[in-house]
Amino acid sequence: MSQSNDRVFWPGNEIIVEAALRAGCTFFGGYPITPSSEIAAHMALRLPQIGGTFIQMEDEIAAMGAVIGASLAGAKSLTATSGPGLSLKQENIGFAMMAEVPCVIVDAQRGGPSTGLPTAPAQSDIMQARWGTHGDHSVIALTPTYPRELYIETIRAFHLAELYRTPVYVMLDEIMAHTTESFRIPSADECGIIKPRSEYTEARVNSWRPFNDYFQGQHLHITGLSHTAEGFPTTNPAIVHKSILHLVNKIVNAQPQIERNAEYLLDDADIAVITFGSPGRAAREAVLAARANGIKVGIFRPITYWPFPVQTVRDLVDRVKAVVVPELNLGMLALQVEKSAMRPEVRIHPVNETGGIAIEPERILAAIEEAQRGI
Amino acid sequence: MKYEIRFAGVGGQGNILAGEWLALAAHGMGRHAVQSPTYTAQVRGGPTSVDVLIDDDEVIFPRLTAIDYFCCLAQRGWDTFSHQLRPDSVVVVAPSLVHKLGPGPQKIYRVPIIEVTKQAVGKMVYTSSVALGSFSFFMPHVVPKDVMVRTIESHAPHGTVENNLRAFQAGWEAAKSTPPVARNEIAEDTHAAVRESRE
Repeated sequence: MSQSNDRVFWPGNEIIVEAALRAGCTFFGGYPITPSSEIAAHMALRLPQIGGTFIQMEDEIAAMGAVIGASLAGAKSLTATSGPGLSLKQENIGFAMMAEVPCVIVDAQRGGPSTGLPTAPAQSDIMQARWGTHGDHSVIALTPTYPRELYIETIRAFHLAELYRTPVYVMLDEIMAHTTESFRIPSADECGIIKPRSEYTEARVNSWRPFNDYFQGQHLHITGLSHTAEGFPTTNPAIVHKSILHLVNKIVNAQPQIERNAEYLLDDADIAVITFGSPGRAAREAVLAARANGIKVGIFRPITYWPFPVQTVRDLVDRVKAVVVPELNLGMLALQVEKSAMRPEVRIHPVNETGGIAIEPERILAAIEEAQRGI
Repeated sequence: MKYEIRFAGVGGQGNILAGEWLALAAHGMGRHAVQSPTYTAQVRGGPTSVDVLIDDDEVIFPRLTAIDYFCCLAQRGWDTFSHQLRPDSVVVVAPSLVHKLGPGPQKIYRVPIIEVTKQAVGKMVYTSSVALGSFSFFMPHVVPKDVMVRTIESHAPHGTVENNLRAFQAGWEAAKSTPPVARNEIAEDTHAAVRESRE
């Protein structure tokens, strides 16, 4: 293993901060909440060093408001929270979608509902990311598994936010947030596109409302009301309908560009383990153990969770004989797999955990063996 | 070679920091180190553990599944986090804080960590460094003593390096002169003590 300077020992929350700074983030507005608090703490240290701004607001929704305001003023902006805070932010997240304000929201998931399990992992906010705010809209949510992915996907979140002028979620969980691990900082080539907002000319095409650089002598009107292409409120049904279709389709139509998945040993697989986030690591150990026993099994992980890779999952389910779905909730991903597959006969073997602990490789292995017996 | 190491106790004892220094030392040696804490919403007093995984290759599953080395500084930590012990796990406990071990095949090193902290440094805030010193004595092949010392020198908060090193060394020496006891003997002792107290 190399001993170079790019080899570090960082917790997930610090990886997010360093990746965000590399992506050009200069503003963080937040309100501390476990297990995301270290993101705020580390941003409070790092942003002043680079001339950026850190602000701790009076509550979660105000923090989201600060992020929207900073983004409108030209800063790549970040907030971080956990389930209870995500609930509180939802109204302003909807505003950011309606007004097409680029920003990144990190959700370090913990057990819920309500205050639930502050210091323990869960993946039960994934539907809230999709449907938490009211009204028709599309969402981009990224679900990395490994420290390297967490770094790269945080950078990509800023790119997608700018490109499609929309809030983008990075969803992790308490395990990823708090686990500190040896890790090599990805090279520039691995990080993908990093560029200043002024260079996102394609974002003008992806926006309902043509826009100019803010505070550069142009008139400016930003509203959460349904609005015309000039930004002023309207109730004209045809214009409103067109604007909602725009908000949804700018992401739906870009699915091929946004979709990113990780596949592992799927080529000859009879069984697919479909999972996301931190259980992906337990799944890898389980798959290696199952392979050692002659079971043909592989892993599919959506790294872009929303928009969900419906067609890719459908094609995969058509190829295999059984599916195992480990997740730290009671079946939110399994539901999505069922919906994508559209085949009632496909056998899904769920592995669910809501007790605030990791799913151990043994449990996934047992589900794989059960699936194998049923083939 | 993969090592699975756990510190357990209650919140406020510094277990998580001790685990972090151990993992940092292994990381500094070029190994893949993982430090994974578990604690409750209580600021102090809740059962707390930190798992440290060290491997020459990549660690895939970042949580502990079977304990190679276990250091425990509180009964609540023992009750909550000792279930993944293996028959040949190396176990270090602070005997004044961990009384009821229950039956089991392991050999237990009862290092008087609390008493050593009082004598050697005088401040209980250094308990975790004494524990780390004691624990390190039993795993020189995982992280050599000099590497641990250098890690403490470079990572201990400003103004605490000297005391942390003294605590570490005292813990090391105490472990050196602590013979192992069969867990079953301690378990029986405890039962006897309970019976006596009832009589």
